[in-house]
Amino acid sequence: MSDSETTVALEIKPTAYQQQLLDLLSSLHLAGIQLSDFSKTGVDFDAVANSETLPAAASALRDNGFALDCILGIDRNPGLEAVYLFRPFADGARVRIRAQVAPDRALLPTITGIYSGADWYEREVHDMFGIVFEGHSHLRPLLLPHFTNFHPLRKNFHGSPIVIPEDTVEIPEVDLQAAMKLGQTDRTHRDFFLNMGPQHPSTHGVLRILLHVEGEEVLGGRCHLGYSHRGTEKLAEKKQYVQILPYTDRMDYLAPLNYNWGYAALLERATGIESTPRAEAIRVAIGELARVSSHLVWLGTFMLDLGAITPFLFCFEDRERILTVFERATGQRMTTSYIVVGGVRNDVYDGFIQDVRDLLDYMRKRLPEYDRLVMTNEIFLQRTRGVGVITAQQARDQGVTGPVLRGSGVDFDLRRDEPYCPLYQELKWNVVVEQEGDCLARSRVRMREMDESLNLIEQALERIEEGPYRAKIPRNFKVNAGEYYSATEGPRGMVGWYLVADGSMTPYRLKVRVPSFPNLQVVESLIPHSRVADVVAILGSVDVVIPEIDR
Amino acid sequence: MTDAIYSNNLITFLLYFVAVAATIGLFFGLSVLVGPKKSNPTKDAAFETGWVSKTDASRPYPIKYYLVAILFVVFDIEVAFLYPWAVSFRDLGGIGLISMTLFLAVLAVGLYYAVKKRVLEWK
Amino acid sequence: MSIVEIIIRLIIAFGAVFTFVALNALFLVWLERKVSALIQQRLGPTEVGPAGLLQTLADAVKLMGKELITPTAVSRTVFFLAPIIAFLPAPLLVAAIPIAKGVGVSDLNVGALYILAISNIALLGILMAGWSSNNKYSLLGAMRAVAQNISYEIPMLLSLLAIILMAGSMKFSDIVKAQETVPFVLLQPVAFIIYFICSIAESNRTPFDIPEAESELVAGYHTEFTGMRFALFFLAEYTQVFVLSAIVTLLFLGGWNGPLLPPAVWFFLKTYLVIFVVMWLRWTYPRLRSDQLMNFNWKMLLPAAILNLLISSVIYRGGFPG
Repeated sequence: MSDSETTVALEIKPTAYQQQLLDLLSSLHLAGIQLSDFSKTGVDFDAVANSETLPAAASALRDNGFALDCILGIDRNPGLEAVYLFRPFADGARVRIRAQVAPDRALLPTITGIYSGADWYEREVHDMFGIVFEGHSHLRPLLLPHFTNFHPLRKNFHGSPIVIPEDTVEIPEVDLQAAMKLGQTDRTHRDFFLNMGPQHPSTHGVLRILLHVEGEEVLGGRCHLGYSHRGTEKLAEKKQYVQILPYTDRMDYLAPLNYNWGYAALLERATGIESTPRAEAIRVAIGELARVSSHLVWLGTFMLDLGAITPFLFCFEDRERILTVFERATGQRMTTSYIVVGGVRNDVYDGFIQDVRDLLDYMRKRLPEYDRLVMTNEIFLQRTRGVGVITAQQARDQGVTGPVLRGSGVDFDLRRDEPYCPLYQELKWNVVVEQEGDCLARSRVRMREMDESLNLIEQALERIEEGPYRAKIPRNFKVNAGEYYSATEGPRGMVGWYLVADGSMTPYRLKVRVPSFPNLQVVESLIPHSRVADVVAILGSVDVVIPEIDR
Repeated sequence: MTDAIYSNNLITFLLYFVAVAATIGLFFGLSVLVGPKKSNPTKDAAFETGWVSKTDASRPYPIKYYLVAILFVVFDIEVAFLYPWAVSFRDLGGIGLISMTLFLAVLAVGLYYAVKKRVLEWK
Repeated sequence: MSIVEIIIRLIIAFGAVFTFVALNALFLVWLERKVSALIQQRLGPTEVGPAGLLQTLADAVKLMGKELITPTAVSRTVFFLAPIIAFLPAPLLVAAIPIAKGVGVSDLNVGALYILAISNIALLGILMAGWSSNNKYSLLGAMRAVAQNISYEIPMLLSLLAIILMAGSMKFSDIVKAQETVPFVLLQPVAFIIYFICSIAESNRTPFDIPEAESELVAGYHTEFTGMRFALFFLAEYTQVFVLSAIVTLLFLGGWNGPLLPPAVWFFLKTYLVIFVVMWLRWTYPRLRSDQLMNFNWKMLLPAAILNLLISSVIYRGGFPG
């Protein structure tokens, strides 16, 4: 493809930075380069690649500081499409690169050599759509059982009886090889393979890690997912937009409100409906409360992983108080379905503000206590300092977000950098960053984030003004045909929603980019040459929720 | 009284083992009597957090601290020498103190050497 | 004394010891639950018996009703013997502890050494359990237990030496007698700290519970043991907790010495106070990693113990002030 074929269609006048990026994209032999309206679609630049230009484009974007947000598949029926989303942490510019393939010859080059975080995304797309990524070192089913031979997110798949082969209990040799590959180790005469999970006390849900160990030393390992795969994305294609909301509760059961919010933000972007100021303030207050409650569970379970049982009960005691407020405000403790498009489902109850203020006073007493008792404990420091170090570059390549990313010294928070709620711009708060990138840094980020959240809640409470709690929206809810992306900051990081709408009442395709997905993937690269005890500590420190990964 | 009991070691030990056997026999007997006895292959497999074990656990195990074990033997025996000295410490006087100081110094130097040689690093 | 009389006395002694071991374990499990509940803002057992005192008994009955599973791949003889050997030293240890002057099953003239020697038999049981289970988690747990126990043995022995040096005897009653005016904890604070840390490590309790680290190794060496077999490990562990606290009491806290109250009461008061501290530690601290544990022992405790012994032998050369 020659330069002359590259077309740059401009509907909007680009800024200097955008022009710079346009020049970069133009130099990559990509087709269909377009500047799109971020506020409407959630994407700044569009481009189309093919199997020849894709790796070079990815490579150039990586050199320019872009991180890989997500790779997703879309069945255009006919024709499959892989969509790559990139985003630099420094400036808010999301680049979308599409690559189209024919369903009978679905081949694309892998970009795992460029972005190590592409590994699992490509495997998932392969699972769901059957696109083969050539050169991928381990293109085995990730979320589906290893014996599946169908691709459920293709439009021509309508469910099929699964025949479970006889020999499924045996671990396939290829999995053993894969467990060794990441650590670049061979069999020795005294090594063994150790299954950690799914029935293990500290795998945070149902995760299985196949470890290759030699005594206490872990030589390598691979995660095996899919134990709580519920096919939410396929279900979403059969449900109306409003009916999908309860599913969002059940992805990350520790912070359902942030998922409600993410989904609502997506639909608001797609339909242009704006939520009311009162609703925005309620959202911030209750969303940050959800963040605190999620971080509290992290603190408790992390300490449980490190062998201290008591903090767990203290944290749950505190979380209980937060959940009580949720229950009174939303009617549910966990599956809230509270934040809906245009606002919140129902107005807060009368004593809500006072209840939350009391809660703030209580938490402000408790958090310093945790700081004193846990974060300065010598054994805690010994177990976390220098363990599981993720460098800033590694974090970028793996596409991790949230506290894990900020613990690696990257100053990036969607609440500030990709505003989805105007209040975050107006309120006074800081993005917490720690430089070291080890388990301790990640822990400190979360502890300080709780303080920041409390500040945010306090300010948001003052902004709850009189007015409607929900904008008027039509009963028959439709989204205009188009593609929309929206990302919000959940407690674990970027919760991204990619919607392909066809103008009907149901989505054509809804992809959820969950923060735990890359955050767990990074664990695989931290495992080699650590100790069994460290694996547990690392896993605890990245704070994953497995059901959100499996969806 | 107590000395008399322990003077007859054979009877003491015999009775002790009978007592332990009786206790454990009682525990296990009752357990077998009351408890269920149903077995199936999955239940009787080694528990590896929900998966069938791939490699046998009775493989050679890399004891990274085998030097630690040797150090233990050395130190344990040395310390055993110190016990009679400690008991009769006051009777031995200055000579005992000086000789044992030397002995402990040798131990300390040995430990220092082991640390310097990185015997105690776990890699 | 005729042989019949000796045998009768022995049977009474054993009866007393075994009853104590069982009752003590039942009580300590209850106490552990209550202490943890206290620390964790809970109530703990309340339903069975007054203040839930009989909860452990109910649990023991429940454990008895469980099947004794012997997995197919285990080496049967060793697997069968492991819990028994782990339990074997428990009554032997209790028998050697005097609770007051002249009260107790026996007061050996090498009492202190005897306790240390016998308590390590349990380690053999743990190793056998881990090795025979043919389970990798058990194996890892057993190996950790062995490494940890043999390492912490040495500073423990050395700090004990400092006490023997001061008392001039290994007999518990003599050691207690030497503390009539001042308990050794004041004269030998370093030895006390080292001994206390080591004995917690020897009993595999938090922060040294790495052999059965639940969040890492599921249940460590006793993963494959069910019902009464598991109960035997449990019994052994709680007896060990009692023994270690009793020894700390005898060696450092003045044993049964104390004003007003009868000696035996003082002894149990102090012992259960130490047990409370041990439980307190368990419910407060996280767990160390195995290599950190080893480093702490060889690079901190052991040099400190040697130094302590040297210094105290110089200071107390002409007899100690007590």
